[in-house]
Amino acid sequence: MNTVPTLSVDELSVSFAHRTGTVEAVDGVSLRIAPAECVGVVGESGSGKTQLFLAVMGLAGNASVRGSIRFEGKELLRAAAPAINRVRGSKLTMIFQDPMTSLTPHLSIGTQLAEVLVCHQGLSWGEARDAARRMLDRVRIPEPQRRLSQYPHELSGGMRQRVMLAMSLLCEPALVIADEPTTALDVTIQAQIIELLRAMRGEAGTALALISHDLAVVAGLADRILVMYAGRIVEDAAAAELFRQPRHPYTAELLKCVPSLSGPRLARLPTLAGQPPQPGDALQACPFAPRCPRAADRCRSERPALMGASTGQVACHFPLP
Amino acid sequence: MNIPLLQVRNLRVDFGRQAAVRDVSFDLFSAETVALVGESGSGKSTLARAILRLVDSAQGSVEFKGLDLLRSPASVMRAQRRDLQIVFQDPLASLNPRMTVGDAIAEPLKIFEPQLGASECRQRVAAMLERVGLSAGLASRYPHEFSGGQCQRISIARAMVLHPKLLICDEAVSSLDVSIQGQIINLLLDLQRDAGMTLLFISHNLAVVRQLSHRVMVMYLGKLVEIASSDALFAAPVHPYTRALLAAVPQIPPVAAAAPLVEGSLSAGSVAIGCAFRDRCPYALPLCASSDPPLTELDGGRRVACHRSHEVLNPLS
Repeated sequence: MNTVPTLSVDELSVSFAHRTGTVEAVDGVSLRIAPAECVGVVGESGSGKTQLFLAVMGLAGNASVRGSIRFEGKELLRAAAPAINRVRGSKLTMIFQDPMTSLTPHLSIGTQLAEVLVCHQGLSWGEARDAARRMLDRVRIPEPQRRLSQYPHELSGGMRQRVMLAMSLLCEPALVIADEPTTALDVTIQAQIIELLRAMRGEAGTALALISHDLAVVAGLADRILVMYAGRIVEDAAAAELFRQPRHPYTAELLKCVPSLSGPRLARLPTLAGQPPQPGDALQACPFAPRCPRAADRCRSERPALMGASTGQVACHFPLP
Repeated sequence: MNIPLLQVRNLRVDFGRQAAVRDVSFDLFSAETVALVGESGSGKSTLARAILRLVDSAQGSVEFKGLDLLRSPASVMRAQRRDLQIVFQDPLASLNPRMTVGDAIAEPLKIFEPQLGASECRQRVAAMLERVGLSAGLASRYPHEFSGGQCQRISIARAMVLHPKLLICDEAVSSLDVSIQGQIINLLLDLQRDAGMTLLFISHNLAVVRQLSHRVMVMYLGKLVEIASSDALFAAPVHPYTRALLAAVPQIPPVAAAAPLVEGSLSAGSVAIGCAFRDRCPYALPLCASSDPPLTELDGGRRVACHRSHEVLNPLS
């Protein structure tokens, strides 16, 4: 395939100053996202999944970011602010967990949506409001015309998340990053948003990076899944393959922990021993080694690289067959 | 027939003109785990707080070991609190940041067992810390030095140190990562088995509920709409809302929903007359708009509040 990936990240590290020294929130991550691909990014809190994509958006704040982030072939990391601002919010967009804090409380929904098109595409306010109304309709918000003059607090959580999604899609983006888009929502509303994302998938060739701690949410949407642990990608596989046959012991153990609605009821829930590493913890060569049932001496001395075919990669010295 | 440990009858809690809990009646028996499920805003937490008299009830009764808690004087109620404990969702917010975790766990002992000597108190705290899987040496640390999962263990230790008869867990594992969640649930189940305690487990995670509860109560806009044994409920949910809740749970591998997904969201506008779920219900009849279905017993002890529950044997359409 010669197509330019929508997103190429190479050897990306994001580090923070901490009282115990430097903390690597993201530790040498490389990944590709192809046009129209839906990639799920899963990991526990603190695994670096959000920091990775905040860095992609240029929103890493006072963290130190090293490596390379190319969007449609163009380097973002060392680009000047005007160049970043041309793509950010138009061709490269992000939606967050809490739609209340991502919307401005004192501007109407219509103004907030139209502003995107006025800024990025030079539309008049009238044209922009029309386009905003059509987009609200596309994300299945009832009575879109009336919503334009409403304020965020007048909408339910699910509606607000639909507004965020509408905003992220206004300029026909090449990549939408959705960070825990359903985590703050109730299960019936979550199902509605997943259904909507599924319907939107592939439309206009938009790629989706879906970040979640919930494997089941990602399972219903992603073509490919990246599993993160302690700031690194430990497994990268086609979604169906990952659930059928996880290769990294962490993925396998994590999957066992997900309670299911089918199958036998268990006297005890499966657990993963120990804790995920905390900021400032000294990491072993393989950060999962202290919790890993397959760990050997080599795991404590030699860092496993992410290796394998393009369809499935794993960072483990002793992967599952 | 067993005598229930807790009998809730026709309980109602009002917030201004809005009823947060409406006409709720149920029993909890000794040593059982009962799950209370529903969406945010359904009144689960308010119901729990009303049982413990942390919010005032407008109507109804809560009988605990034969004593009406809502009509007991404050001193009598206070004495009952050693048997009625609660663990909240956010473990860091429910621990005093300026108290060592040892002092936090010792506080209930100091209140309810003041005759206890200092060294005996320390021993009880140390034993409780070990019981929840933390080292006794950590008693002199402060909450911020622990992870979320560890803080939740500490909250559980504090709730359990008096060996309560009833423990209410209000979304106690919801903010934890899945790998930690199982550890905490297993701990609760062990403690329950060892102490013969009753567990009221409030959660919106149905997959977790299925694993640990004997019975399940489903709440919608302040009302219980279905009460059934866990096996029966998950094998064949009857109330359309229960069906919708189950159908909405994402699964691995992904499965096609067994029931239609419900449209819209919980809204308090529709509760005045008729069934509160009717606006979102794919099976609603004109009757549902005019009359609120009472919780009615079906075969096998299951109770359902739906005008069409009798049609369950024939597929609803």
